Amino acid sequence: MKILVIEDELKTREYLKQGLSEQGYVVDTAADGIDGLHLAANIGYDVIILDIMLPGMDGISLLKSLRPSVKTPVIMLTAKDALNSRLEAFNCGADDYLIKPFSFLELLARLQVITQRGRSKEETNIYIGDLHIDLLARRVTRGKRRIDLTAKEFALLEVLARRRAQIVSKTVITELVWDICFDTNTNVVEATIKRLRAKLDQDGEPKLLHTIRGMGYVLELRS
Amino acid sequence: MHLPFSQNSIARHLALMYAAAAFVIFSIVVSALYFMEMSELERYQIVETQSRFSLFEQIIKIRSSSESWPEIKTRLQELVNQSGGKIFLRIDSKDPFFQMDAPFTVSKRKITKHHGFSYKNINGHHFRILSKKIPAANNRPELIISLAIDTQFYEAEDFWFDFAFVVFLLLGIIAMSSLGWLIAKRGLARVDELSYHASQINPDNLSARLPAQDLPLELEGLVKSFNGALQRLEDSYNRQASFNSDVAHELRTPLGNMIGQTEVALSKPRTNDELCDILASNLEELERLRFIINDMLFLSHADQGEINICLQKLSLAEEAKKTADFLNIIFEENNNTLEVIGDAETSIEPSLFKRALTNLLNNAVEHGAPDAPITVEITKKDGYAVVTVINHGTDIAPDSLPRLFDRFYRVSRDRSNSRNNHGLGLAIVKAIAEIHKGRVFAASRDGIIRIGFKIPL
Repeated sequence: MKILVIEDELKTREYLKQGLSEQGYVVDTAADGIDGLHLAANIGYDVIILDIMLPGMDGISLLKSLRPSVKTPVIMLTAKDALNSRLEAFNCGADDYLIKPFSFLELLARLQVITQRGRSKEETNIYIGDLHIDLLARRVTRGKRRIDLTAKEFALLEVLARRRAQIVSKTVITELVWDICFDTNTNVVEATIKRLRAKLDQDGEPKLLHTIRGMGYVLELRS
Repeated sequence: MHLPFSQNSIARHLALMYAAAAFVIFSIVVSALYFMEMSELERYQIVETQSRFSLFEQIIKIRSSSESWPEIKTRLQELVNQSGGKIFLRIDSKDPFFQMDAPFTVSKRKITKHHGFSYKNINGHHFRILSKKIPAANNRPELIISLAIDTQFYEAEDFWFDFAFVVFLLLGIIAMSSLGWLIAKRGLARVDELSYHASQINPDNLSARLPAQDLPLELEGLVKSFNGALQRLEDSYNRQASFNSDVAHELRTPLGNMIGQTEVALSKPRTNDELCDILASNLEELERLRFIINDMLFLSHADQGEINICLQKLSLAEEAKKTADFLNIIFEENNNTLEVIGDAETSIEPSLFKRALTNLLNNAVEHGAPDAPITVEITKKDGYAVVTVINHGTDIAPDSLPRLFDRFYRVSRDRSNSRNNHGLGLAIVKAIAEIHKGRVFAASRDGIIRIGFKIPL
């Protein structure tokens, strides 16, 4: 999967390149609008990450000259979340946008949505170690032990299981499980995770639900 | 100070209006006087014509026979000549012997009607003519006597009279405009004074006000409004200043933690686990910074009316239940019960409504008593849908109540619980209420705390 990052801020460009490469993406970078447009128009990328404020040529103009001939999905990065620039970005054909400062996990989540768009990969059964989740019957077992979950606990487990071995942030969890899209200052996610973990990982069993401090949660079997 | 006749000068406008008013009034007065004078003059001419006419009439009537006629005619001619061309006499008769000529004629109709005044213009001379028929007597036939007075003799007086009028009219207008300008300048002196005071007001001197004593009625309202505007500006300026210092304080804590921890970490070799731990701790502080910044940006956009809202007519109880569903686990952890009572339907942006209610409920759990019921009460009152979160807890001091919704305001100044609560939650509730053209309120009595907002139905 090839990604082009067009971003003038050196540190941002560097950490995006490193982080995305470590996630298995092949990353090219451009530091200004003119180089960016040249690369975007001539090399086939799977996704373009495009900053709005750029030297040489701003992100909006770049996107305008790219569309409609180049249909590569574009995620816009913007420091100003004023209504106008958001609308402008969508009107010019951006597929998604992130407001700076954004979290890297958030960017990964958006990338996943965009790159999986169109591929129907609906799993019905998920196995992680001895954990079995039957998504159709909404039944969870660990070994021979049947686990009874509330609706929200099941929804949380499903979100983590579909992204197994990936860090899922609290923001993503809140959005997917409770359909709440604003920052909340509550302990709802922590409390729900605590209860899910108590039912999932019992004494003597290998731990499956891990907390990554400051970032989020991972569901995986670690050796 | 601007020039007296510069554009848009009130004094100039007033002077011009005075001049116009003076012109109209003097014109009316002068015209009235002129017409009075003219009618007086006419009356005078008529009287003079009549008196002269009756003299001639007497002379003709007393001794009128064909024998004495030449003598009478001479006498009449003398009288006419004595007038120095002011009067003319014409006698018409069927007998040419009795005729007497003059430089005017009287129409035949006048003769048959044999009586009355007429006014004639002959070679640029205006004549006032009186004609009368004198019946035949003795051997004298019927005569028609016409006496004409040349009004030119009066017109000379008339000219000087008109000239004086015009001169007085012009002098009057000039005097009125100049006086008007002086009066206006004097009247507007208070405005100049206020303008001077206003020019003294600057950001270093925000508490200065325009002097409001002994003001004329017309300026009182203006000065009051202006002072009111200054008061609001000062308040908002002060709030902005304290907001800035609160922001700085709020950001300083996480920054200080990060700088300190990083310095400690770098001062000695550390194991991988220790470094990861410090990075994770830094990330927590950074998340906190991001959270504060995002909330501040939300408030700033709300202040500038830049929040994009898409109103939907919804049941508030339904939305409240969804919010309660999200927060349910927190209530359970604190042994609080949550109940939503009442309902109202109104236009809201659901995600903003839920955000406001989340903040209120989260506050109720964090600051309220555990093991106690929390109620969301939805009522309709005076055209508003009123959403109140009611919880049990320690009463809030009355002077703190109105300030609860201020940015970064905390009831206790010790910043306890500042990890989870950065003091913008209720400010956001207020902003959301205002986005919906509503208001917030807070009350606390006998251990029952009621905080909420109302939105127009």
